[in-house]
Amino acid sequence: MKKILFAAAFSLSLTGSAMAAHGPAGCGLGSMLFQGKSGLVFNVLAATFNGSSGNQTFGMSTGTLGCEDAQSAKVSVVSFVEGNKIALSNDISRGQGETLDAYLELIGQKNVDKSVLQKSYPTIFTKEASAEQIHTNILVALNK
Amino acid sequence: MIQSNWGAFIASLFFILQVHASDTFDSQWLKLLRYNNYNSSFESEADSNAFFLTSRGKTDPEGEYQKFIRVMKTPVSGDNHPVCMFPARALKIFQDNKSTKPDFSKCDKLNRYLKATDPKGASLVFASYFIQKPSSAFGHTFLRLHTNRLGNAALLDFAVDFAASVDTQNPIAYGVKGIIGGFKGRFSRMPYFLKIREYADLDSRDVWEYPLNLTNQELLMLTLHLWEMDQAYFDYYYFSENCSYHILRAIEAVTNKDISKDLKFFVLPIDTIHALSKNNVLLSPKRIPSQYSKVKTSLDSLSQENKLTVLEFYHDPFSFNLNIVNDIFLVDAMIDILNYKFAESLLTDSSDAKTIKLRESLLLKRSQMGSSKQPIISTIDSPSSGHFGSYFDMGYSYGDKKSINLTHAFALHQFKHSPKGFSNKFQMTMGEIQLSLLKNTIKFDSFKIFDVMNASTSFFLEFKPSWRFAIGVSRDFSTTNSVEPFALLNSGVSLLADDDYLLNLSFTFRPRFQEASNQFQLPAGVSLISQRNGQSFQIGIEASIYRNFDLSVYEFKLEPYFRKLINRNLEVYIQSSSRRAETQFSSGFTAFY
Repeated sequence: MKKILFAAAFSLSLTGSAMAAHGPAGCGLGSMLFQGKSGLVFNVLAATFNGSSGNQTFGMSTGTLGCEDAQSAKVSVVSFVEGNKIALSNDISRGQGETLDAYLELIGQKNVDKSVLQKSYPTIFTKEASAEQIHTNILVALNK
Repeated sequence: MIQSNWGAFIASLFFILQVHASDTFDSQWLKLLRYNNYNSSFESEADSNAFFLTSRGKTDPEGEYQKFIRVMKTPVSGDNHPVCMFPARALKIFQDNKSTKPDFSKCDKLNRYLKATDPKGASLVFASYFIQKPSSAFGHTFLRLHTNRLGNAALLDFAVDFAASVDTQNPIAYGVKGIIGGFKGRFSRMPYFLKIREYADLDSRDVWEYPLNLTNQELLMLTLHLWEMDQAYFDYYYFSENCSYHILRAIEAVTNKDISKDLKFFVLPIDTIHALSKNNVLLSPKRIPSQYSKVKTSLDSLSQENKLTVLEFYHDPFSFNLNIVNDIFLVDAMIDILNYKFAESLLTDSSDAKTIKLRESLLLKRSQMGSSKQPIISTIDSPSSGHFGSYFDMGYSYGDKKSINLTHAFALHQFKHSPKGFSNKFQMTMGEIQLSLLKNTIKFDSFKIFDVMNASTSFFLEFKPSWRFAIGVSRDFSTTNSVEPFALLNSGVSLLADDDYLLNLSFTFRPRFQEASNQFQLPAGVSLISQRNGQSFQIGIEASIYRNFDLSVYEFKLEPYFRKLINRNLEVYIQSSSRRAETQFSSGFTAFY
């Protein structure tokens, strides 16, 4: 019994000690993989007994994988929309926000009237619109 | 003849020495190639051959230096030339006056990188403690390079991260390999927004940006040096040579300040921030609020009535009638709540149709409501305003027995400690050892491998149970007064958990193995923590009562305490500790270092 308890203690201490060792990250596939994060209460236990080391990864459905240029980590507009869809839709519905500002800077339209985009929300975020469609819809709304 | 030979020999020796005196590497060269000095021999921390030009490079800084000088005399033909692969070294040699200006014109890849980054500044970024996930419980640091553009949208910048490539799903292998350096750690670049979405939105962790206090020269050096790190990998050690350590080492190399001397063997992310701070490398930080912090802020701007509406919405968003809502702040709060509650599925594009539809109608409604003032995010103490990562505790115990008690833990924070820069709602102690000195004997009292608690339940918004988990050896409830292996599993609720007050009630199992009777016991009971935090003090009580079914007895522990903050790294305390057999009073201090 004692042995078992110690073995458990040891293995738990090891999993508990893993400091910021997440999966490979960078340009290419790795950079777009977040780890599966569940707010599970006994994540410590779960991590031990499920044999999960935090690698339930997911990819984003962009063909470009975030970095058009592996050397520079430069981001294309479509990738930006893809990776920031939730925050961008929040911001456009409110007519303000950091993600919207970043997007407008990226497309070189920093000084547009953001309330125009806010009012056009229904035509921008159409049902199941892809990142590319959202981007196009924004440009259309801006050029009206 | 003999004499002249000796003369020539001495002359040549002198020549060599002279050459060395003016021609050798200096401390920055050692830092750029990560050499450490061990009793007058050198070894680099980098473990990839590609990081060196010579086969003995890992242990030969002089050979690398001379080789690089020679290589700089050869024409730079393209990306694979050392000048293109190690531009910071080339610049260093140029600054040492050992070469003409390096010619980067044929380095296509490097030039594309430089063009894309062209930084006007850099920040050290700290993603704060994430107690739910063991690998992130201590926090994480990485770099943000502020690219030089007309605008200043941080989300368009890019991040440089150091992380281990984990190649196993087996938790035991994961732990063992992590401790003995079995994973390869590498630097990588990625869009900064990914980091923000991951830490602030998905994990709901506050993110702190500390701008680096660098000269233009140092900033250029940093940019070039990070490029060099593409050629390097390092055996990854969770406790010592980890992500935060390597980020610090990169900053150290370009500033040429001896910053790592201020680190201990075990490197905690927060301690790297303290070390950089001490060496004047960091400016005052800015907080990027987590998704949860956003919810909190938007709730604060609501009337009591609207708060209740939000609560109703939170618990059953799908049958909520949106038509009755006309308040712009209320809608904003509901959007934030939806983003928080469904963060994972929304960010992973895996939401069900119901959630998507609800969110769409909410955003659509919001888009027709015009503008509102963005709520002001409240200021909170930065992580660097708190105590250091390790602690040492010394106290004198009087009562039934008199003893001097010594405690040491290499990490990090107890809920009893001052919450400034931390929180009273979590605890993360690792490797805590307790000894007591009685007259002439030293007694080993306990060793906790870890003792982790998360009591940050928000009772208003949702019911998320608190939990605590500890494992180690202790004589705490020993009937024979011997040290016994134990574990502690506890789950309950925090009835109150704000910055000033913590009231936590939980069910507790405390399995242990009693050596004397060779018996496994499973006492179960309830625990209570009640703590009030003042400006510079904490007063509280910790109480537990267990039923030991195997022995058919009750066990209890009652510990009131008062702690006073002297400065951020020193607290003094008085406390008493009562158990079935004894009551002890003690007073002492906790020093963080």
